[in-house]
Amino acid sequence: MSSLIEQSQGRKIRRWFVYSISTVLVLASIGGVLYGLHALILPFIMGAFLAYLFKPLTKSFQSQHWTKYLHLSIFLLGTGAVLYGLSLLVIKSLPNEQEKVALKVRLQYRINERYRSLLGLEKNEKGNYFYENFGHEIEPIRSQVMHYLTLSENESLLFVGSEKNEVYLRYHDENLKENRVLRETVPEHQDVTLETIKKPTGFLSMIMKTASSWIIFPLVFIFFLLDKGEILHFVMRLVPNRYFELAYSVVGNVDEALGRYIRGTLVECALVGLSLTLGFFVCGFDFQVAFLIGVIGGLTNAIPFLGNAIACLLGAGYSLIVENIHPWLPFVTPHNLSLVAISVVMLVHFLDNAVFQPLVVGKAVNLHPLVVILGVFGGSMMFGFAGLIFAIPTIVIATTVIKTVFTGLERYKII
Amino acid sequence: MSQPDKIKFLKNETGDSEQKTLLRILWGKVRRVDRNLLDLDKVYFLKKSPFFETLHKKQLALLAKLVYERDYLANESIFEIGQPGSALFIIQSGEVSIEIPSLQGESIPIAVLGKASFFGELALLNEDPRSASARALVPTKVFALFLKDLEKLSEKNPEITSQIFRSLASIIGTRLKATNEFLDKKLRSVA
Repeated sequence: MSSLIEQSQGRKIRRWFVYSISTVLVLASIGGVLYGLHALILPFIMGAFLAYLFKPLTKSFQSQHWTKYLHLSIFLLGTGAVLYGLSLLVIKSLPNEQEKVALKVRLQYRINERYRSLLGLEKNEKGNYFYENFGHEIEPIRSQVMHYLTLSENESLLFVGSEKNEVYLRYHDENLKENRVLRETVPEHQDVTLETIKKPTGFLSMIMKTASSWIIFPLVFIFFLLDKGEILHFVMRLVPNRYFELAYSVVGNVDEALGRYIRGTLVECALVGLSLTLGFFVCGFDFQVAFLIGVIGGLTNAIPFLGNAIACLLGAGYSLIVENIHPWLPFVTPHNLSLVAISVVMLVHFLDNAVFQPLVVGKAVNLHPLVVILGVFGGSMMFGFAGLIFAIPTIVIATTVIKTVFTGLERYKII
Repeated sequence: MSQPDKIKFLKNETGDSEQKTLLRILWGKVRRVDRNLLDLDKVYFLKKSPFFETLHKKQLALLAKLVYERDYLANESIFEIGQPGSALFIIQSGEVSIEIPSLQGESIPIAVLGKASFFGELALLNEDPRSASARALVPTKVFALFLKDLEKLSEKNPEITSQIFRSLASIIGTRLKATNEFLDKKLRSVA
């Protein structure tokens, strides 16, 4: 009997040793792999997230008579065709090379004009109160913007050779005069030019590096889209029996909360985009431009604060350079268009907060505004752009898990 | 040491009723991950259950993807009375005791179920607390089917879930009839 007990004790110790060492080794390997492949984490998460987004859509036209591969191929072809059509529509709204150059000329001229009128620098004046106090801070920013908008030699040739509009040619001449003044007053731009010439190699290698990491993105997307619950079943098998039903309810609740949040956010983004498009169109913007700004503003609205800022920037920027407007409202003129564009964004923001969010998102998120602000800023500080995008979904998941786990632990009499 | 004692000791030693550490459970789960029955085997097994006997092969294949396989050790609790019910269990192999507590707090077995039997079926109606506890008597394998999965399935395949719920209604009706007859007999004997 004593030998059997000793044998048993020995086995117990060996078992503990083997399982502990294996766990440490596996955790260390996972940590090492995650550290080594950290560049792939974001594409992986994005692929999984996108698959999660598209999953209900694929399920909606599932059929028992099709294999999952055929079903997925049809879905990918269909989605690809729709995305291709949409991208063609967006590309059509974008200016071509010639229009881009003309846009730069207009933008440069208009910004200089507005800058001078706002700071009282017209007709050789010395500048107003703002210029005297903040001019030394604003001037370098203007110089940077002007440097970006200045036409290169090739662009200049293209513009002069193709442009027939005399007003634009006058703008170009004015810009050239302005640039001469700038070059004389701000000699440090030489360095900036050299920097921009050196940049392309780094930029290209950066693109190559990013592309090589993002190659995993479509694979993850398809892999997760093909999954019919196998991943969940695999994970659930790892859960001890005692926590099995609890784990299932946690997964179910997270799925529900995340689904509600994503669906709500998508509808909200679409409504914001539509409102921005309508608002800008009513104020006299070309429909194509209003649509483009609406699409960008709507898409970026998923990121708190950023969407409004981008829509504001684009709307106000366009209103600075627009030549002819056809407003539906009598009080809108080219002079107050920037102000009206900012007001449109503010009105849409108000509509979003007062009508769209309570109506569409409802209590799907139910997060305190302070938590949202801290989450978004904290996420962007820690993980950059990815943190900005995933801050709110992560908070939604974390709060749901915490709520469900603690309630479940009590209901299942575990604690 | 007598032979029965030795067997009892060895049973404990092999871990049948020993309290397992979380690490050991986790590694046990990882090792067993690939020992799942093939989906086809699951389909044939589910067909034997009175719940699913009216479903055809393709419908059962869809259902097989939803069920979770669980392994329980001898004397391990599957669920306890009062816990929220969220899944129906079907015994793949082994034996399960259905128990209710006595006034003194001891467990009284009210039924012992074997292969292809099911329990916890009321969880397919709502998440009310379990009316009895279930405990594995020997190492047992079960299939678990959750109400939420059935609800999702009914969105695309309402004919499957309607047949399952019809079977459930029929089973509950039969049991209610049996209980009524039992109570009637008891009342007559008391009278």
